[in-house]
Amino acid sequence: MMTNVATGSASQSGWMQSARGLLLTREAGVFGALLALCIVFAIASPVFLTGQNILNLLRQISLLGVLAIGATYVLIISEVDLSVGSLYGFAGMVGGLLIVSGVPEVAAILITLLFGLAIGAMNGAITVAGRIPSFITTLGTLYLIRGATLVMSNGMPVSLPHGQGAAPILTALAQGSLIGNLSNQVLVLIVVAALGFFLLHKTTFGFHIFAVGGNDRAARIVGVPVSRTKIIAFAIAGLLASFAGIINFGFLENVQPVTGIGLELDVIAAVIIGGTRLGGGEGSIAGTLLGVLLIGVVRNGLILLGVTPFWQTTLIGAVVLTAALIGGLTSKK
Amino acid sequence: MTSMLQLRDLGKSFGSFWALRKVSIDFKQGEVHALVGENGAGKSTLIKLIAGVYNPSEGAIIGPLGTELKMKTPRDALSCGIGVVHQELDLFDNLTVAENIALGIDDSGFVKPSKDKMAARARKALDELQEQKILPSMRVGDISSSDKQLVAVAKVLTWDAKVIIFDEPTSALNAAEAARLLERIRHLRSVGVTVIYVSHKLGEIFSIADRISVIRDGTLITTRPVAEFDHEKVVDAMLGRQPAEIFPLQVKPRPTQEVLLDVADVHGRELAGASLKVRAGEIVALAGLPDSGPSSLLRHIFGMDHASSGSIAVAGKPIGRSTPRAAIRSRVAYLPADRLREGILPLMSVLRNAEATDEAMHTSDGTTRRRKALAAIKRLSVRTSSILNRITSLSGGNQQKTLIARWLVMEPKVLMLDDPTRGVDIGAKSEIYHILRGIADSGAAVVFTSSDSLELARLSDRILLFRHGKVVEEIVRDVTHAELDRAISAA
Repeated sequence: MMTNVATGSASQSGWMQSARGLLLTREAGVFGALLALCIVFAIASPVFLTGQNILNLLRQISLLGVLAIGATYVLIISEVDLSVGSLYGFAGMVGGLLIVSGVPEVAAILITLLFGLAIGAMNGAITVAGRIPSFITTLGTLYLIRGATLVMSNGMPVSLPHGQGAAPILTALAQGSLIGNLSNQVLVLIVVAALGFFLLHKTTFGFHIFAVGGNDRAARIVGVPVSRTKIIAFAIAGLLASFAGIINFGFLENVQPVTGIGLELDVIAAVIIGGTRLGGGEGSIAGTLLGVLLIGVVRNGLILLGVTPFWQTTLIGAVVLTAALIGGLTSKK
Repeated sequence: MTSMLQLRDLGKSFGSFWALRKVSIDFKQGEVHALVGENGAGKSTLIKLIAGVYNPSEGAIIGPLGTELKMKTPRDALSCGIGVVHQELDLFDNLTVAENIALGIDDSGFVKPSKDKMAARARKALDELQEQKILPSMRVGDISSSDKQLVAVAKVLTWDAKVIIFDEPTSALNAAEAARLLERIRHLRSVGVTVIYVSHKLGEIFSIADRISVIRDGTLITTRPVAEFDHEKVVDAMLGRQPAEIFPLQVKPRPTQEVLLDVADVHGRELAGASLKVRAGEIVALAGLPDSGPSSLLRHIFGMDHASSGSIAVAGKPIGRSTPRAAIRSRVAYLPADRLREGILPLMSVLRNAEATDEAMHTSDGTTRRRKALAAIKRLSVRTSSILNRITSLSGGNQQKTLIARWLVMEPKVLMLDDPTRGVDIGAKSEIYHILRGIADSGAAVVFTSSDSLELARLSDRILLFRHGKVVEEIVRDVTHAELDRAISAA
């Protein structure tokens, strides 16, 4: 009898503890902030909650979301990838040039993605083998890749030839809508997020990502392939950056040599707002999606209110600082 | 009894320096084998060889089947059934207990094992330890250090470890927690596990060990059943000479001397009303469990941590602001425990390291500063081929002497040292003891903490015992370090 009572209360308090834990997660905090912002904008602007605006908003954040999912892996292992903005532009340029010069579209897409994967893996390999902080490695590749893009394009934009059928797959992915008026870009984000979630939270590789981010020395001792895990994390970030870049080309039907400059900062901001710990070891795909949504809502809402874009940037800065401060003050160590 | 692990003429050299030489020990199945020795004697090198962290420079490690074990990594050692429960636990604070235990053993497939499967495995290992309080779903960052210790044991048990090495397992535990751990270790022995137990708490060793191996200066001095030892014999074997030859003479309290350090009712992180007075010319030891206040109080006095209330005065004058600069102006000196991260300036020379504080505080002009630094380096006989060498080229003991020289330049009234002989070889230890006595004799107040109770007992003139953030007892009479160990852990 006594034991029954004891186990009963223990499991109950365990349950209550996990419920309280859930309420206190970073994701819940971001979700709360997002909800509050939505309420404010909904009251301030009659347009905000209309179907068309929501569809627009979702489309606008999709590619940022794809990039941010890749960056989540990198930030959880306590590294950073500054080169994804350059890679985004580079991928659009490579894909565009290949298609314009007559390479079959499927081959062009695959080659571009391979470039992204290889450059990402290279970021990881240089960081691991050279024992260089990834901040420096990817600062270097940020310039290298941007330079390559400028050289390749000779500083000129590249456009899809007018008329139907120049790049049917890309235009369908970027401009079409399979479900009602929902842009396919949003579906792309949903698929990438689902795969990203599975890989990070359900596979051994994802398990190793958290282990490496938590304590890479201990990870090595228990036999986690630390270097390989890091390189794959960078490769994923590179792959997704190039994927987003080539879809962007399909959407705009042209690419500038300066496309994606500064984008890496939006990406990092979204991941940090989403609760990924800069010191590594903590973070989630759900949090990152919420962070991306929050940035999207701030931009969209302020535009609807007629605020100048300059204020958007200011407010996003404030959101990043607030998120980082909350993270810093609530973390235990 | 069958042999589980045999060391044959095992040795390890770093360059021309032999950290360990020709050690042969036969670990039997189901025994608790204690490994004792002073800091720097070669214990940790030996553990690292057995655990696959280092590869032997000579000799071999033989497994239970009589074959040589070639272990290149800690993972290899685990696969050979050798697990280590480290002093700084190799656990992941960001993961749950179940995930910590599953990691590395249950992660060969593409998909991660389910939560339930990991929880079941963890439950089984914790049950083997007869541990019910720790739940597999708990986040390791949220559990106490003694529970972490048990999780680490559970982890090596899931690897089917036949030999488990405990490296100073009770240094952060109070008496009740330590007793609980020792009970678990006896249980492991009863099911046939070989336990290699490294500790400098002799009381513990006598209560749990079957045999004791003593290591000194990188060689095995003796291996004998515990019945053939007593405290004094172990200490003699560890030191190789009488304590009197190592430690300077202790001095009786001098109640008439000026009070140089007066701490009253300080509250803060880990502190709950700490008070003490230290007089000119005396050496006072602060003893207690690691989080009971001694180290923390030194950090508060030096302005590294901020007290929420209480007063700190030096030679009758309050320090004022709680910053290191204010403390230094009041002529307080502080040698941190973490020499590498808080002590040395690794990219600078020995000389610049000795001058650093004077330079940062603009205390003297350049010429005076250099003269004082050179004098201090000479007085402490820092051994280096050139004082312009980087400080990192020096041994731990000589680095520590350089840091003491840095403070001698400032002519401190109060010298505080947090575990000053950690990672210092035995020869340099004795030198540091005599240096500290010399500094006290010249009129300063010296306050120190130590993880080594022999040092607490033999170097100090009196001991202040901390418990739960305040001083609970003053020990003036002669006390053996075993008595002191008991007093410290009786929380």
